[in-house]
Amino acid sequence: MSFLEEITQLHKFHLDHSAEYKRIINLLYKNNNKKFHSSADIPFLPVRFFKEYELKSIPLDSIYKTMYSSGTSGKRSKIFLDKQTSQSQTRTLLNLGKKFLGDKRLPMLVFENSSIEESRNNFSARIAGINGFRIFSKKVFYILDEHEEINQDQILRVLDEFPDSPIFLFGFTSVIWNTINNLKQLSVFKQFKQNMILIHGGGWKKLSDRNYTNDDFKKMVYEKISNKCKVINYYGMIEQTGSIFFECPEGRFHETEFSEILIRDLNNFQVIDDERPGLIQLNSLIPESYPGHAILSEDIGIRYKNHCKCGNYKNSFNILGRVPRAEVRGCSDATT
Amino acid sequence: MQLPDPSDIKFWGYLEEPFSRERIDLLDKLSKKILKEQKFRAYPDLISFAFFCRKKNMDHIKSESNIFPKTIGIGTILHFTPNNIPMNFALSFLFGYLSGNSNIVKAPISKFPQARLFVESWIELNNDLEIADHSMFIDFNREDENIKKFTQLADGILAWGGDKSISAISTLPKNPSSVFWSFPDRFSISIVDANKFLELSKVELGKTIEGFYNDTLVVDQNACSSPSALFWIGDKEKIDRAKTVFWNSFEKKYASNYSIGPVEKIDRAILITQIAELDSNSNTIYDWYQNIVRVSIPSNKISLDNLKGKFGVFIESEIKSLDEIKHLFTKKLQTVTVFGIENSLIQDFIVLNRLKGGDRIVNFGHSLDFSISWDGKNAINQLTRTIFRR
Repeated sequence: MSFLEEITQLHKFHLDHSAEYKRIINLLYKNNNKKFHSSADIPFLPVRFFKEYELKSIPLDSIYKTMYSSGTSGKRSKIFLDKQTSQSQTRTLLNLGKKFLGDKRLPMLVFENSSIEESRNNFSARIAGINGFRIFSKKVFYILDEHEEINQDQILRVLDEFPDSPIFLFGFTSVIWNTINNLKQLSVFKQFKQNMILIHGGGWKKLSDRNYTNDDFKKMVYEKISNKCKVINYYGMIEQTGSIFFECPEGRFHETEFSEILIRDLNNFQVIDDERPGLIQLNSLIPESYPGHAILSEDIGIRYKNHCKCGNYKNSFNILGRVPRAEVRGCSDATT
Repeated sequence: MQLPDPSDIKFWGYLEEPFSRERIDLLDKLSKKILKEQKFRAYPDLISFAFFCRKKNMDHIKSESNIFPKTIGIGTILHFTPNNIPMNFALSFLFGYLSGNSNIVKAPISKFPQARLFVESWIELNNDLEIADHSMFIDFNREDENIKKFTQLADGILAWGGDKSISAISTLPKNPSSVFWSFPDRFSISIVDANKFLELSKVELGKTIEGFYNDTLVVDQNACSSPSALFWIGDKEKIDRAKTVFWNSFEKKYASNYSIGPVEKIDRAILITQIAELDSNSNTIYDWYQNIVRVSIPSNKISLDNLKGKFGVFIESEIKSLDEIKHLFTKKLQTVTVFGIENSLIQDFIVLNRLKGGDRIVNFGHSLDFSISWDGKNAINQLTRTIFRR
């Protein structure tokens, strides 16, 4: 089956299994159950709907896990997983990630404090990232102390226990930036002779607000940790866990066999040509327990026309930032 | 800007009689200055405020206010005003000023040029005339370290804003004998007589539609006095015809120029699905590129406490008599904008039915007009004291 056929089928499945989704789609789209000619025709749902509604296509007793987005700006998305979707998220991530991390499990150094484990059932974006990526780990080391500062002892322990294994560093982009940007070089990493790979994602808003780029981030890691450390950014959202995007050597993200990217015009939400910035829509085949197969993000991105020099011929794209909220006139909010 | 220490404010505690000759004259001079000079023209809200401040209008308001003899202000008023309506601070100031008080007013000077122009002109005028100015405009913050000193000393506090802001302000320490007057979240509605609407001439129609535009889209439908829903009164056939004329004309002239950003379009889509929850038969079909969206809901299912028409969404409903919308006249209902219906009819409806809500009945196009009465209370009565004698 083609991607289009599969996502069409998924769309029909959700219409049949989620009354709330069907109600919403019927209100927002005239012809929402016809034959679609391209993925652009699939009704998309803005990501914020997952904050306003509890959308699921499974009965209550099939809920295996509930995930929440981080609630920095008020309401949080609620994503319902059954065993099957949860497993296919894991399988997908494994498939995508092993291209970078290899088949063997590695010691995983996480830029978090170990107390994050205690809130494990409370799946916020930061924890969800760790829990997703721990499938690549032989053992997890939390390398921040309770003050969110680098805990050298933990890092030395890794060296002790895994003197020869390649090292997998992982963390939330903004957390890594905040913990090591102000430090002098982290000499403890000098003692590592093995290969190192750092995978990071999330929290870009905080950095791009301060005008830091992906290149700035890389430079910072080369400087503070090691210039031999491979640095890979990933892009994904909690609403589509599993089908995420890894940065290629050219600094672009690529579609995968599980996912597709469309760019929509900021004004009329029509799909637009490549090389023009617009809202990023993410289509994924993974979400079966909830209708998250076609999500319109609030990120602005651009899809490239030409093939990427990295050799991956799938469509490539990049993130430019987040769409700003306009100032609305009104009587509320007297004192901010 | 940071608040000074209250002890550094020389006029602290100053009060005088309401509507003093000096103050009315000064407002008139300010009004003339604003209406005359070119640089103010770009700001219709500033112009209409200046127009409101003319001596003629002030004298009229004074005569309507029925002030008892031996009435004076209460002292120094602290004004917490909204940050997102440019001239609201000026109205709040006027409440305190006309009633004979000294005023410390939060003003969005750095954000809105018209606010800055107003304050600059005010200071200039006072300096030129060498008048002791008993007012201070400052863009202070609720977290300001001196704020508690002000709230503790103030003789009156005016708090505009959302329910949340007001609750936060009300928790600040206060002088127990001070006046606390708050302007919380409200909603408003419109009522149109379909029959009368169909009788309009072309010119009148244009004016009426323009009035509705001024009441709604000009302020992003987001002022408390902007109608959140539109009720058509009359028989079905007439209403259908009137609606067609009304919306065709509105869309042609105004809706095509109205646009909102992508985040607001998403807000709008969410709002539509929420409004539609009120009525399972609602069959609004929405297109992402539409400028305005109409949603029809039966009147008995409408509730406006949490859902308001916004982002170009207009909630409308058909009724045969006012009784069908009695349930909307809650404490939260502020303004009723009417067309083709006598204002006094709505006043009588409220009084006869002993309803809690509905503070202001105005004609189309006047929902945002300035007035000295607000949320059902007269500013002069609120902010003065009368010395009783026997």
